[in-house]
Amino acid sequence: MIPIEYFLALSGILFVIGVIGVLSKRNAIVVLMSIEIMLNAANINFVAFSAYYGNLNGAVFALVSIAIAAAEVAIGLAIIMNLYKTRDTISLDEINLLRW
Amino acid sequence: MNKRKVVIGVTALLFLGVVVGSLLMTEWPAGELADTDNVELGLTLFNDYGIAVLMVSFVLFVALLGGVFIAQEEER
Amino acid sequence: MAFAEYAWLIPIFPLIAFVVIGFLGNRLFKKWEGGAPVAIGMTAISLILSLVVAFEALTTGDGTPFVQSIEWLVVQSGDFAFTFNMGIYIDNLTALMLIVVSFVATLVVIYSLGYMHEEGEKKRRYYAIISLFISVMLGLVLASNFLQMFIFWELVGLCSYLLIGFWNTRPSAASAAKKAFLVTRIGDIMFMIGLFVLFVGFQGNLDFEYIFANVDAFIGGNDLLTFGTLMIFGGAVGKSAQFPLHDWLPDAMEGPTTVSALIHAATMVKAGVYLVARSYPVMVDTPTTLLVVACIGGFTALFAATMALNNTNIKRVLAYSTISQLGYMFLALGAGGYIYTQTLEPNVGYTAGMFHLMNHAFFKALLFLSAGAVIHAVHTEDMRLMGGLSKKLKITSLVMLIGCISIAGIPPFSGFWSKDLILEAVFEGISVSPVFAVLYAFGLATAFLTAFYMFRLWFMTFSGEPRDQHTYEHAHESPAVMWVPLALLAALAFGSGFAFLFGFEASIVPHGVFEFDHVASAGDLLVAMFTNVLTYASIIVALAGIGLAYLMYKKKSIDPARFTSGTVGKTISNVLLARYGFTKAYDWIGLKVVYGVAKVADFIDRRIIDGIINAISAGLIRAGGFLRRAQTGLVQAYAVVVVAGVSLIVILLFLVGGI
Repeated sequence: MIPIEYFLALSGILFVIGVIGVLSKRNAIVVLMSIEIMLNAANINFVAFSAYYGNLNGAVFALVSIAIAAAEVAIGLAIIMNLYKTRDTISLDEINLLRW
Repeated sequence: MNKRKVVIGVTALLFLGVVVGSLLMTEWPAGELADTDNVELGLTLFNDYGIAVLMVSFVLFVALLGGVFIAQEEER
Repeated sequence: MAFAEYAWLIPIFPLIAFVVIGFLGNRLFKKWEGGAPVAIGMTAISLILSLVVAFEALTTGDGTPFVQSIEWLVVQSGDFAFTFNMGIYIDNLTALMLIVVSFVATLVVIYSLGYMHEEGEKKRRYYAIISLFISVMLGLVLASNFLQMFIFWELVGLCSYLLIGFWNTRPSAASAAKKAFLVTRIGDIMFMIGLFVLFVGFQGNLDFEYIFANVDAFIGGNDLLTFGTLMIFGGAVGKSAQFPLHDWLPDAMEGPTTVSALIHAATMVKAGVYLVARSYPVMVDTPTTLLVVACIGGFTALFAATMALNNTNIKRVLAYSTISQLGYMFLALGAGGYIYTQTLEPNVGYTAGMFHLMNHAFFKALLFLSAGAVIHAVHTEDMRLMGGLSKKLKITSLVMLIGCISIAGIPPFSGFWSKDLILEAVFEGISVSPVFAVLYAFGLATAFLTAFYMFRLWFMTFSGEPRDQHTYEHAHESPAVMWVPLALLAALAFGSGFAFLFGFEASIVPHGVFEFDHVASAGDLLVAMFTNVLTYASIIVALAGIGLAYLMYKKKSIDPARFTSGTVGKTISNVLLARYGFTKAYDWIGLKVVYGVAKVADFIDRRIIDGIINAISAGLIRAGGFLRRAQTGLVQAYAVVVVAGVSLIVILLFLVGGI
């Protein structure tokens, strides 16, 4: 029997990989993909708990989370398209209008 | 090794340490891995959480419309 | 006392003149000589009122002063309360001062009508300030408490400043006015400190009536009272130009001669003597102060007389003479008081001092005004350019001669009576303390020098051959409006001495301190005076002085150059002309010491105090600039901070024990 810590560790490591991606990638779309990785890590967490303790609430929440993730990506991509239209670049290093 | 990467690496490692450390240190109650009963899942989903399903669908609908609106091509 | 109740009006009339001429003068008095008739009229009314009040005080009073006052300021906080009254205090001393001040003032203002005739637009300012001066001087004389006197004292100083600097486009006049104000200010600060001491010691009541009756009620011990009276004398030193605050008076001659006559000979400088005389009941409790008064007076008399010996400016000689004669007055007051404190017997010192004050006012005003007539005639103040003027200025030379004889102390002119009384008073002190022997010698030497330099002045100006033909040609006698006051003053300079024979001694005594039991008759006084060896000593000394001046300047048998040529003579001559280096010393103190302190204070203020403030602000700006760098605008940088922050919070909570 696999102890539950393995699943949780998997989810944690995946989450950190997602965080590294969000923090260090220059391409905005890659950042979005990293955010997806983070969301998926959270889903694994939910499902692991749901499977181990027989509680279906976790699974339901995971389903809802997937749906919301999809919606968020849609909007995110739309925003990136708008960003490209105004700034001609999607490299996050160059988008720092605060320093005018 | 540029400074930015170092900082990010250190932060991420720290975060990893926090996450894994905290999960390894807690006492999880005993449990056995079992398959999820999909029929049960579906029934619970629509019986107890029907409102949630409707809300999620509403959110998806609005996201769809919103995405299309934000990413429109400007017409001259 | 019917008229004394109206005495408060005496200063009001010249004040009205000041307001009218000062504020409305330009419009009203284009044709009226700048407002002179108003000034003369108001001063004359004051004169009449003063004479009436004084006459009443001297003849009908029983010695108790007439006091009338109103509450001006009442302060009460907890159990500390004091009231400051403004009022008038009339006793024999006030009466004497009223007579002197108002009489000389009226004559000077009438004289100014002629003297200031060519001034044009400035006349209005002159008459306004002169009226103000007369008003505040009369107020000072009538004051009923120390604080009120101090207020008028300061106002008198202000008027003096304005009038010395009357020709304000002349840099020497402006700086002389500033110097006069600053030096008398030092005296005023000492006076103020004395006032504080008296205020504390007499629990807030500065009225003459209260203090003179309750001198024993002084809290704080005799040492504190001595310090207080010394400080009050310090104020007198400043105002009356005694050593060491004497330097302003010779320079004050930059003002018009009428100003010099009124302020710096007859009235303002007498305020110091008046203050000491007024404070007598307090001072007889502090013999040390009286000794200091006598010593400074005696020393200054000799000191100033030496500086007049080789000066060639006619007004400067008269200024030094004023300082010297004021020294005589202080010597008399101090000696008389000190002897009284040691022997508890009435003596003639106080009377001698005040008598000399009266006589000196008249003959010094006479001398200054006639010097003014001379200056008006020849348009120069330098005696080396004068000479032989007695042929052209007959009246002036005659009255000035009367003045010179009077100041030299030849009987029966007025100066003789008072100077002799002073020397007699000092001589009495030799049995009390050996210091008075030195002071008597000073007094006698000063009498010799006074006679000498006054007659040197007269001979150089009026006799012999004209030294400068050009000035001699243009000399002309002054108009009637100028020589009539001179004649009146000459009559007084001759005759005011006879007041001594007619009861002066009994009426002018320090009230509440002692009284003369008997009033000697005129005959007895004459006999007593002329059987005394000292009288003849002073007459001989005066005649010797006149004789030496005659030989040196009229007959020219002794050449004055003998004294000034050769290294010793030249050095002495230069030292005297440089006023023993005091002027330079004071300038040095002012420039190096005071300015140096000011520079240090400025440095501390600008660099250190402002520097600290600026450093704080600069530091904050730099800190802000440093923190600004956190706002990069890069979202990922913010995200790093978020992640790091969350981790740190969890670790912290774990360590503290919350999780």
